[in-house]
Amino acid sequence: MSAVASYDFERFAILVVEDNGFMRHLMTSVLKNLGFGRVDAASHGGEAIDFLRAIGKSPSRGGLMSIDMVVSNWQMEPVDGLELLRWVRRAKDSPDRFVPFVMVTAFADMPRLRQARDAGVTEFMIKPYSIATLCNRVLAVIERPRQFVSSPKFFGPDRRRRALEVEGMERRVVKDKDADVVYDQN
Amino acid sequence: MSDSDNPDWDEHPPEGHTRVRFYRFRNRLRDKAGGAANQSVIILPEVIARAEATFQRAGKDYPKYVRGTVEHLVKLCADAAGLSPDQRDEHFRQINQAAHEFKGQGGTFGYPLITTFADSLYKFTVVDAPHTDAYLELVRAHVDAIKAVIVGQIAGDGGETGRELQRVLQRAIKKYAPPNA
Repeated sequence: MSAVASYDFERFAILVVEDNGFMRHLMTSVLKNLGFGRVDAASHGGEAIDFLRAIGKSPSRGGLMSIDMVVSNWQMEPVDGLELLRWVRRAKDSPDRFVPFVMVTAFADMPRLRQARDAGVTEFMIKPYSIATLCNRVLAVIERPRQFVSSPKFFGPDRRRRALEVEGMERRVVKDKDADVVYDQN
Repeated sequence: MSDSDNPDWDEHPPEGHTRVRFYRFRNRLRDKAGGAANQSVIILPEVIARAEATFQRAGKDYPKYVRGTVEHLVKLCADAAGLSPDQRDEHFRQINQAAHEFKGQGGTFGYPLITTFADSLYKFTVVDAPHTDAYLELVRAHVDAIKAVIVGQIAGDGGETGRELQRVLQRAIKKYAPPNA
């Protein structure tokens, strides 16, 4: 039987993007209480892009080499969470197109969720949320990362979380032999 | 940088290359967090309890924090009442945005009635909602209900007070909303 150990998030750096000051402060405090070593915050997507771009240009900025996870609200002005996600996944000056992105939103309707999924979201957290939900999402990012898929129309974590039978003709590339598979060796 | 790292590659792959690529990386985050693949790793209960305590403290401050927003909603309703329906777009837009915020916040901080009322208010103020006097009354009824929860700090389901607030709001919806709304 394997032993049970505890996670240590001390070496993690998280970026919280939230326009509401109260919620931003709360999320930052909660993540620090969960043990995350560094939690930076931006008040909207534009500010987050400036922050991430600066890290890309100067990776040792403020002692911060990279961001391990972005936790972003969706509805914000002038740049919302969806636009930020698209920038992270697609922009040439994005410092890490593979960074896990957790979208926090009160939008729980399927068209919106699909919109974020197709833009490359990693996990959703629907508001209202609890500490248990937050922990679940963080653990999902850490314990169950999905392969990234790159195609002309999509770049992001594999949208298929489960292997389900498809009715009719399978139009997607699903086999390794039909795609290039990239592994990192580090 | 290899060809495959070039973002243009996805849109314009070199001839002979497939247009789909799977990236499978080592799980660096789990390594970084001290978790091994063959080991059960948890977030310690005392760590979760500490975060939960932060949440609870924030919940206590929440009514105080949102009072300003509620007063702003009351003012938006009052201002809109003095205008014709075609001049109320911005008022409804701001009310809709605030409803969206409340919807997410209320339940988070132990005020699920706010989430219930805000969810209903959000639906009645979406972009294509009419801005008639009847709809404005409907909006006002929602704002009054939200204000009552905030001022009275009615947490949870609110017991009989909560049920009465729901009944009052349902009466307003029945009176002012079209039958199919």
